[in-house]
Parts: sequence; C-alpha cells; structure tokens
Amino acid sequence: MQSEALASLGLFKPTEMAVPLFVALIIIELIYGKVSGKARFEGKDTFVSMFMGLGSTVAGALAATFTVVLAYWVWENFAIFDFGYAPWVFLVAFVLDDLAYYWIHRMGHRMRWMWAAHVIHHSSQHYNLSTALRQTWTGSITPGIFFKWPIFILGIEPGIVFFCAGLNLIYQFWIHTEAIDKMPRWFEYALNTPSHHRVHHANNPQYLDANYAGVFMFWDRMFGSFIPEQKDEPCNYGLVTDLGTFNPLRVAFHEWVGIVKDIASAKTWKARLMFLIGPPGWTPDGSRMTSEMIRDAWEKRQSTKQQAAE
Amino acid sequence: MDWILFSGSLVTIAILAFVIHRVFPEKTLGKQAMLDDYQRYNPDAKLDDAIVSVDERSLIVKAITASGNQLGLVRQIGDQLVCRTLVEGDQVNISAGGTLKVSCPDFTAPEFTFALEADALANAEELLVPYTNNQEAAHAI
Ligand SMILES: [Zn+2]
Ligand SMILES: [Zn+2]
Repeated sequence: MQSEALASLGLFKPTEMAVPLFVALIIIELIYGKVSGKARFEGKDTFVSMFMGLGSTVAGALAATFTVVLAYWVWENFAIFDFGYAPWVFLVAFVLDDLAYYWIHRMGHRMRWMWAAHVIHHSSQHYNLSTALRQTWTGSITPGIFFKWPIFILGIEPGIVFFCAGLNLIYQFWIHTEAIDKMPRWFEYALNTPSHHRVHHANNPQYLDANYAGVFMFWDRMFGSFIPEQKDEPCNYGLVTDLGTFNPLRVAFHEWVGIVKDIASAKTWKARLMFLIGPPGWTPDGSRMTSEMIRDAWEKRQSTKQQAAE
Repeated sequence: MDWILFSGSLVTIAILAFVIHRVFPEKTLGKQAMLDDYQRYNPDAKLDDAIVSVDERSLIVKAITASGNQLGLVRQIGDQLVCRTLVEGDQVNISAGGTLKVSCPDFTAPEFTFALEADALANAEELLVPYTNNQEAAHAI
C-alpha cells in the first residue's frame, strides 16, 4: 500500500498550488507585452489555452485513479530495490522523470496516437505564458503512461515520481514567452529556456521535431534532437496545418477524430496500424506530409535557391 | 470534483480573456499578410490571381504547382490566419447573397466564408469550376 509519507505528499499537488502564480505572471506578461510590444496576446486564444488547462486538471483527476493505481501496482509487485524517501532519491527521481518526459515528449511528436493527445499543446499560433497552460485532456489514454514504469521498477515510489513531474511542469511554465531573449550561456547550455522551447513550438521546416526537453537540455544534445534558435529565422508558431476553430472540444479531440476517420477508411491492416503508430502526416499514398517530408522539401528548395544564386 | 473551484476558475479565465480582448484589440491583417501566409503554407506554389472578401478577412488564391493548379483559401480568425488548399472532395457552396461558402472535410476548419462583390464572385466561381464540377450536387446558387 501507499506509504503514509507519500500519502501526505500526495495531498501536496505542486501544479495546482502554482495556479495563482501562473495567473499573476500572465497578467505581468500581458502588461509588459502591451508596453514593450514583446509579447502578443489574443482574447479568444488565451481563453482556449486557459480553458484547456482547466479541462486538463479535470481530465487528470478523473484518470488519476487508473494511472496511480496502475503505477503503484507495478511498484509494489516489480520494484527491484527499495530506495525509501531520502532527499537524494527525490533528486534522482527528478532526473529520471525528466529523462522519461523527454521520451514521452519525443514519441508524442513521432507517434500519431500520442500526438493526438499532445497536439493540443501546439495548437496555438501564439507563444506566451498562457500557451503553457494549453494542456492535453487525453494523455492518459496513450502509451505515454508506460514510459515511467522503469523508474517504478527500479524502486522509486510512484508518488515521488508524480511529485517530481509536477515540479517539472511548473518549471516549463516560464519558458513559454517571447519576452525573454536568451539566458546566460551556461544556463542555455544546461537547461531548457524560452529560446530553446520557442524552437520546439515553431512550425518552420528547419525547426520541426527539435528540443523535446522538459528541464535538462542535455537529453536533446545527447539524443541528437537539439536545434538552436537562429536570429535570422524567427519562429512561426502553431501547427503545420493551423486549426480553423476556437471551439475547445474541437481543439481537444480533432486529431482523435482524424485517426478514427483514417482508420475507418483504410484498406489494409498495415495502414490501420500506421495511422495509429506511424508519424503524424503518414498516409499510404504519401498524399499528406510528415515532418521529414516537409524538411526534405525545404532542403530541396534551399539547394535549388543556392544553385540559382551561384 | 470541486464545482465551486471549477466555476471560479472558469469565471477568472473569462474575465482575463475579456481584458486581453480589450488590451489587444483585433486588427484586420489584410491581403498581403494573407498571401504571405498562404505562401508559407504552400511554399512550392506560384501564386496567381487572388480574390479578397469585402471584409478583407478571407482570400482565395490560384496556386500553380508542378503537379497542376490548386486553389488556396485563407481566413482570419481572431488575429490569426488559417490556410487550406482546396482538394477534390471539398464541398463548394455558393449562396445567392454574394456569399461564397467553402466547406472542407476537415474537423477544425469547417467553413470558409467569403462575402464578395459581384465581379469578384463571378471570378471566384470561375476559379471554383474544377471543384464544383466534381461536386455536381453541392453547387447551388
Ligand atoms: Zn511538444
Ligand atoms: Zn510548450
């Protein structure tokens, strides 16, 4: 059973406690944006972002029974070691949770099933602090829930990992801004920053599929997905195919609807499976574009331009 | 579930959104911004004739590509632009009051609406012929 120490820890939900701070910072950013022109907001867009955040806490609470019970079941039955609750365990848990986050996030962009949940976070054409709150409602019905199991099997109690995940999410709030250009060099090297995460939210072909980090930037450097922000290539935010609606329900479920439609009209089992686990944009006939295809086409255009210039 | 907390949050969000709407009033982006955005969306296309709606918030543009002619649609919602390229199977409806409605089979861009002057409407109809021909039943003036 869940230990008493963790039962009390479970009451402390870091993200929910941070909500007043989030709202205060959004108000500060919008005043700063109005005065300096360095942050841009739009009423309907902010409403949708914050409504998605609110919906996400409701969906998270509804799914918690299932995900937490499952996590504790794995830990109680398969944990190799028992690390207890020493401070260093929290530190190790934070780093391992961040590593798991990196791979959940990366797969969230590369597997359409997981993208259907994550796409919500990328669906705004704005990039301000309210965008950080635009969170998924459907994350717990994707394979993403399995990525943290190795940490439980290693012997760290799920409550500690969920607590660290909450802190991780709080860290990621402040990086959703155009108001901060670059942090000091050492900071940009080691940690996720507004600059790195702007690239992650950009739909410019040369910026696609980059900078998946939660807190520590070295995962991207280590696994080859790091792309720095270029001064001469301003980020254009949003999806490759922009959403044509502010309806929160359509925003929350559009990719799921797309998957169901595609699977229903698929002619082979391979196609049905690929519509679920293949990359977003995959089609049997190549009629839509995956991010690789978009990048290849961009590279081709660049070399044609270069040849023409020579 | 704490419904009081939920309702309070919802009211706070609505107030904040309303304040933002007043602080950052919406601007009409206009023809060039719509053309630029469509070019970004469909970078291989060479853009030809463009028809802009009366409110300057929608645009139809002929896009010439290596694989043939396409029809680009751009619409401003809020302060952002949404682009689509018309493909076979899209439902094209032209209403009697000079309003052209194009519905894409796409869950998040249900309808592009263009209020057009009479001349522009005639031009737009001409551009839409290849699509309306594919959709005999959908073309109804
Ligand atoms: Zn992402
Ligand atoms: Zn983000």
